[in-house]
Amino acid sequence: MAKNCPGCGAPMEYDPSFDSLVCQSCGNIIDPKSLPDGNEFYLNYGAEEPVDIKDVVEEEELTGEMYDCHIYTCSQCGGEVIVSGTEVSTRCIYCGSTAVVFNRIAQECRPQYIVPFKVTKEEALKNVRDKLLSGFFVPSFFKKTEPSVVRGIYIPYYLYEGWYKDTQRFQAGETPYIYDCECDFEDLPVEACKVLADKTTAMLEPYYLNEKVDFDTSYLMGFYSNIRDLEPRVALGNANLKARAMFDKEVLKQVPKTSFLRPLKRVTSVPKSEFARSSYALLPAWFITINKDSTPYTFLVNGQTGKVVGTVPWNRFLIGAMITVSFATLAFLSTMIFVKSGLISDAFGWSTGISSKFGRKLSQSLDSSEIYASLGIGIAALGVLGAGFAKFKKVLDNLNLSRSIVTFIFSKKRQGDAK
Amino acid sequence: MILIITLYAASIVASLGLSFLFVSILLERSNSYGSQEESSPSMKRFKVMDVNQTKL
Repeated sequence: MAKNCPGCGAPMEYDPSFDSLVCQSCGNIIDPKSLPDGNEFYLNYGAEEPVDIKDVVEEEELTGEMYDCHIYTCSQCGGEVIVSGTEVSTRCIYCGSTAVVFNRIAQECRPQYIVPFKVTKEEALKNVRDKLLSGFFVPSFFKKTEPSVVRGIYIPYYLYEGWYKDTQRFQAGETPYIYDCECDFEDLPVEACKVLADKTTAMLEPYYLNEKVDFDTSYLMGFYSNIRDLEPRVALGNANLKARAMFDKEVLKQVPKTSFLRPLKRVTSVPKSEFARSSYALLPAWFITINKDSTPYTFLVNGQTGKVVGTVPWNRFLIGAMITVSFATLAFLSTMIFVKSGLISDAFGWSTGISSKFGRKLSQSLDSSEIYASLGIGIAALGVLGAGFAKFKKVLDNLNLSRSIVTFIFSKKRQGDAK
Repeated sequence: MILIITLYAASIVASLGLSFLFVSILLERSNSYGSQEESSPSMKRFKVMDVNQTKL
């Protein structure tokens, strides 16, 4: 249902900068808390309960591949809209009204809390624009092109409460460190939506849930939202994994730093935990999509803090040139060191007039210590090479996340293709 | 001689690794935004109950 302006009757949208509903036609501003609760509205409005698709189709139609969908009526123009069964609200594809669908929200999936958008669309765009403009390797296309799609979407989260404790044993050389720690968690957010990549939402955090408010459909005006479709059992597992990752990092901070030669290893861990779902909440995010060569790159902006998440493709020529130049420089420098110190001439018996005691010693007969030293040096060099490739792959993975079709579909589905 | 050749080859291989590392760090700072936060406001009252360090 769209909440209409009591002054002119036009649909109103929630504006984060005013923390109020604003009429797009006459500019009237109304505090959402002053309006009747959406649930009450549903009870009045929902004389007709949502109809299960299985109840309205013929038996033979159910034998084919089905998908969950519902038919909604726009309260502004009366048009019927079909949306995904996981959809909570959508813009009417006929009149563009910000129609919010109550018959879905009012069921057991109605959230208890919502964190309203604090970052406006303009602020989100500015944050992304600032990041793109400051990037040295960002292609000029991204610096000049306006986003093709900007949508504010409420992402569903389960909130968990519980505790986690663990006795962890570390080993650095011969020195053991044993830590027995425990920690409480309150409002631990676990994303409850299957279609959005978990890694993406993890990077969007933190959300400060002390700012959450009781759910009111007024906050959905002008935004899109999705409801939970992740099984509670899976979500509980994710809550444990998330708590463990945070806990382990915190324990690691307590352990004294060790040298490169005595790397710290976690030897044993005896974790215990207990988590229970406390509530279900909607958290805000802006999805900003820029299309390049038919490939969508979606940046996410935390709707509460303004944190930007995403990776821009880079100028390949510039990156190739940078790698080549830095490799050539380092290789040249190391060659010069070997030549100047006389190591190479000693090794091959060249008479260059430059010689070193170290080189002569190294070029003497092969023994087992020389073989071990060679192996060690070779492994160390391969380690450095591996670290370089791993870091590069991490950046590539982040780029793939930004152009992830899953992220794109998530935002696209919520647009109803309306701009 | 083998040790010197190994040292030289290792320095070249390490140079390649370092150049990838260097460019990746630059790329990450320039083109990649947002990272997973190490701590979360959901984490409350972290307590170290017992620390036992023994030299074997």
